[in-house]
Amino acid sequence: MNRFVSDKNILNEFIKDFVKVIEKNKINYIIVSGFVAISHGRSRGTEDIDLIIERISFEQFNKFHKNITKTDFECLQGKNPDRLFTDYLKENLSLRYVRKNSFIPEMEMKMSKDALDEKQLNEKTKLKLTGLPFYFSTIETNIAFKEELFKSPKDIEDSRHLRIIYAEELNESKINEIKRLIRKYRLKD
Amino acid sequence: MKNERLEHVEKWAFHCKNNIKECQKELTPFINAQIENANKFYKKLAKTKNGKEKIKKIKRIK
Repeated sequence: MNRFVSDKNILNEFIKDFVKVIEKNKINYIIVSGFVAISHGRSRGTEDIDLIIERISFEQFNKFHKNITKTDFECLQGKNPDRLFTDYLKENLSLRYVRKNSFIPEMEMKMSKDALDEKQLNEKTKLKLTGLPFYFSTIETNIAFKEELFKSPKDIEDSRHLRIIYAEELNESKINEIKRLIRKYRLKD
Repeated sequence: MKNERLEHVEKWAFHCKNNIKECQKELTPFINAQIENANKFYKKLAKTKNGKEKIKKIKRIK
């Protein structure tokens, strides 16, 4: 019986181990979306953690991929770093990493694709209430994405949860500004 | 009329707001069980006929 894992939150441990390699490779990152709500006590399941990294070169990715696969992780889409970079990361698609011999959770890692992602990375923050040492996108950004872009019942519930937790601190004009940028960059067609 | 599910979400969020550490602690067994059960299931499925292909389809792996 693995008491070590059962006493700790598997998601937190998974992210901690992954982010350790990201940070060791000096790659700027943020955790976004569902896990932001879950780390604030939102009661729901998830299979993946969404992570945005700064735009990196193939050489940087190659080094990171070698380091991450030397640890307990593997990439679901394959082993060839050249193909992973060209077919996925460069195409703004996620790479999905899991622990070896495991199926969930997945780390869905993608590169920043526009000014909105760059803004999120520049405003990265640690969120004290989570008690976790990771960088997140701001609460206002997460709320704006969930309300303006994603909009599924699960996302609306995540947003409501975060709005209640941070009721006294939320900057509504910041949320509205991010919603405007979402319309500009993501909903332009 | 506000839907019942959203009302439940709000009730839980207010509980978390006042007891964030407690909520995070309460959620840990739930989160761990969901992941452990899913992995047990996938491992069983992988051992069945065409199981690995089915997992690839479920997880949309090309």
